[in-house]
Amino acid sequence: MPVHGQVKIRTSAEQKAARERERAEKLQLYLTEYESILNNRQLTDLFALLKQTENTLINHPDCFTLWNIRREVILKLDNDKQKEYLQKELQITQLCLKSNVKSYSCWNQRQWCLKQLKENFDLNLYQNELQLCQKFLEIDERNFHCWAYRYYLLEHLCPSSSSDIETFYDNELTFLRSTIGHNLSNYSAWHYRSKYLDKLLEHNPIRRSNLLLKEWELVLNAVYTDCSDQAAWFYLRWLLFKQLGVESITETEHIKPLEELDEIESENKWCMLALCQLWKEKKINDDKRRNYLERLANHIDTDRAAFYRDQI
Amino acid sequence: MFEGLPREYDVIVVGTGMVESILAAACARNGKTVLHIDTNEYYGAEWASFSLNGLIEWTQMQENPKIDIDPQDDNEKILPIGNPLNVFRNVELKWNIEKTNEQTTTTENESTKPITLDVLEKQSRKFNIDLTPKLYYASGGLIDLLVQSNVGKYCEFKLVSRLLFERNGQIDNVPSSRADIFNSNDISLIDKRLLMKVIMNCSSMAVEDLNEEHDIPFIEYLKKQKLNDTLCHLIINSISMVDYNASTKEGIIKAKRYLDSIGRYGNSPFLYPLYGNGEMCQCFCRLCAVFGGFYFLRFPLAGFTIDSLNNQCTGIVSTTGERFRAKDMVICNNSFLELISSNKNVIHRTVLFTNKSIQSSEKEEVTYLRLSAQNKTGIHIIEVGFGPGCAPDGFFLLYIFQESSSENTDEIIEQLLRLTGDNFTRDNILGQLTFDQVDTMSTSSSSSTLSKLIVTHGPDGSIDHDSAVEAARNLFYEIYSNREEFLARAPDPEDIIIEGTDNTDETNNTDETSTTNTATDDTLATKTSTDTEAL
Repeated sequence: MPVHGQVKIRTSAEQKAARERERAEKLQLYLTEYESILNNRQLTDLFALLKQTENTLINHPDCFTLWNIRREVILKLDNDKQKEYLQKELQITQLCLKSNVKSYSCWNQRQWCLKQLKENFDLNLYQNELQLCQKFLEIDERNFHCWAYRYYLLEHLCPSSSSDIETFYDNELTFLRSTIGHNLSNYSAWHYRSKYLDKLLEHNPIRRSNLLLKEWELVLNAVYTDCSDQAAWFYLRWLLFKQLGVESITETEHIKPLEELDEIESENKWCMLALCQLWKEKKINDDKRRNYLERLANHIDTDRAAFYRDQI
Repeated sequence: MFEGLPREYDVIVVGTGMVESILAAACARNGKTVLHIDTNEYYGAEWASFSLNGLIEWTQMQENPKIDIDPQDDNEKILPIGNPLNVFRNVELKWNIEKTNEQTTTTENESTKPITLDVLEKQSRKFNIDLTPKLYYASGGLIDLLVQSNVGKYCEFKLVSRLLFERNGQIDNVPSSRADIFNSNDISLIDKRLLMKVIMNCSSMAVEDLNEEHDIPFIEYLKKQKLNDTLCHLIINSISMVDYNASTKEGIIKAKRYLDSIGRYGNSPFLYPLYGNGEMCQCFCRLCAVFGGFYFLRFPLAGFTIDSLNNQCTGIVSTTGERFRAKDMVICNNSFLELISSNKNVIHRTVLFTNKSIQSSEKEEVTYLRLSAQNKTGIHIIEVGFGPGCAPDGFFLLYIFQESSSENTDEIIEQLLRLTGDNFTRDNILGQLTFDQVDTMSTSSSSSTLSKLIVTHGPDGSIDHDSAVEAARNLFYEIYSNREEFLARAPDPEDIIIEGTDNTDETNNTDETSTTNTATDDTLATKTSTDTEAL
């Protein structure tokens, strides 16, 4: 092992000290760069400014001011150069996103770039962006920045012809179904599912009863599999009260399965609350409803006691 | 042939099996000088993996001629070794394909020619066939040891992507995670809830929570939770993986182990090493070598030297009379000692060479199927192919073994073929290797009459390595008591400084002093071609 010279291994104290030194150096470097950029802001060498800000942002992607400066500079360029630099901007933000996938400024910058390029709508560009979103979602399927960006893209990718739109919505719903299949708790996926279901139903009301039946089966499956997952319960209540509507809610189809679930899981607040709301709308089981609300307020979910009492 | 090799060490380890290799690494890591030998020309002993040609050679294994060595003085006795390969009995390798295709049918399409043995032999190196196939729980046991000691950076793993069980006369996927249960179309809503409830209970229960309520057999406990027969079988067979007469305590502890392991590296609780299980022994040997251990394969071992005054083992002696001394201890696998010939317990192992997976899939899978029933011990079936680098593309290895052998191989294969139906038939079996492996775990170390000789055992019939890791750890503490740490984490290159060179915070990493020349990863990377890399 040691051929010549002594070999030492850093103690944890030494490791810590080394890390502190590294951090201090990095901070010093950043402050120097930042000051220099601010000084150069008013100068005319735009490309140099872009280069400077790029170097700093790659290591510190969350600095709003520096992204601001870049936007200022790009807007000052003439049209051809602008287009070129907007494309480059997308690449730069991608690099920055590698170090922080949830950076507000990076996602914002991407959206800004697309907005600027809108006059030259490029299908390939949007498709590429969609692919990128897919990759980011694979890394973290709950990255809400990525979801929001994805839906921004889909708004613009939505086809105009009537028959295509329906396939488009159906495809999206299939994608969302598989995402939920991976992780029931993915609130973003349920949320966007509700949005797209709305759009699909608006576009083609004939499919209404069939679609809503399938949705009900899906969400019932979800709450039976994991009765403590909020995302599914929120969707269930939305589906029942906002989509189906009170008149369409039936005792056999909707209320009974929840009552059965309640029998197995007797202290589940979500189930109890959903039942209370259903019984209220359908004007049945009033005593039981009051009893449940009392129990929720006094034992099960005392933090929200006032909320339950209000409903009695 | 021993020129340059020192004659004295702190520890001499005989046999490069799993337990010995972990111990050798642990001793070297703590600064002991180690000589690690094996009489075979390969690493791993009973745990080794072979190429196809290597395996064929192994089936024709030779008996080493016994050479008697005379003691060098009155105080010395010699304990001769037996043939360590005697742990294997009834080795049979049968092929269902022709040796070679002698017809010169140039007009015939290449792809419709029946496969012949020489074609497989040409791709011999693409095979990595385990003598002792095992799976690795993602949490606990060997994986934790690999991560903790940083030996993990020497190996790569694949997730066991497909877990199967028997349902209604067919093979089906095991639903064990929330996502699996949600997506299953075969379980009613109420059953889904009941199953999830039991699973969540098992996961969250601590050993202290077990009380008299749990003194009943596991199957009764599950029935009390209102699970139907299929779901009871699912939990007993594929999640807890215990016998039908297991206690509730055992069932819950093992279920918890399984469930805790899901999600750590992916949607499955098990990993399988790239290039087969033989790699594992080599990884620990590598750590030992890096910390100064000496390695000698094909060591011509005649026996052990004993100090007859103190009845103490003092080292080993070669067939040429060269002696090597061990100051602290000699660690030796019990297959070298002639005690095992009286051992009756055997593990029946089978390796099938196939050209089709037992259940077709779009992507490469590593498959584990466990079969069991009331009054029948669990049968483990592992299928590996091209994915983990164990077979050429289009071919598979099917490992079959039991915890404690009660059924014969042909019956088990019949049972499997009934389940796979038309998807996989006898025609898909190109060759079959069967052998018996003596279960040396149940051998009592009767050589404990000798001091300074620690005897280790070989593999058992279980699916995991826990017993081997436990044994290594316990033996280590037996030798060194709790003074020493067992396989402390090896330092990362950045944290190594060389004194006498001008550095304040720089790290110096010359080749001579770095402890590794592979990339440092803090955790194991499971590389899969289509799945996301786990961090």
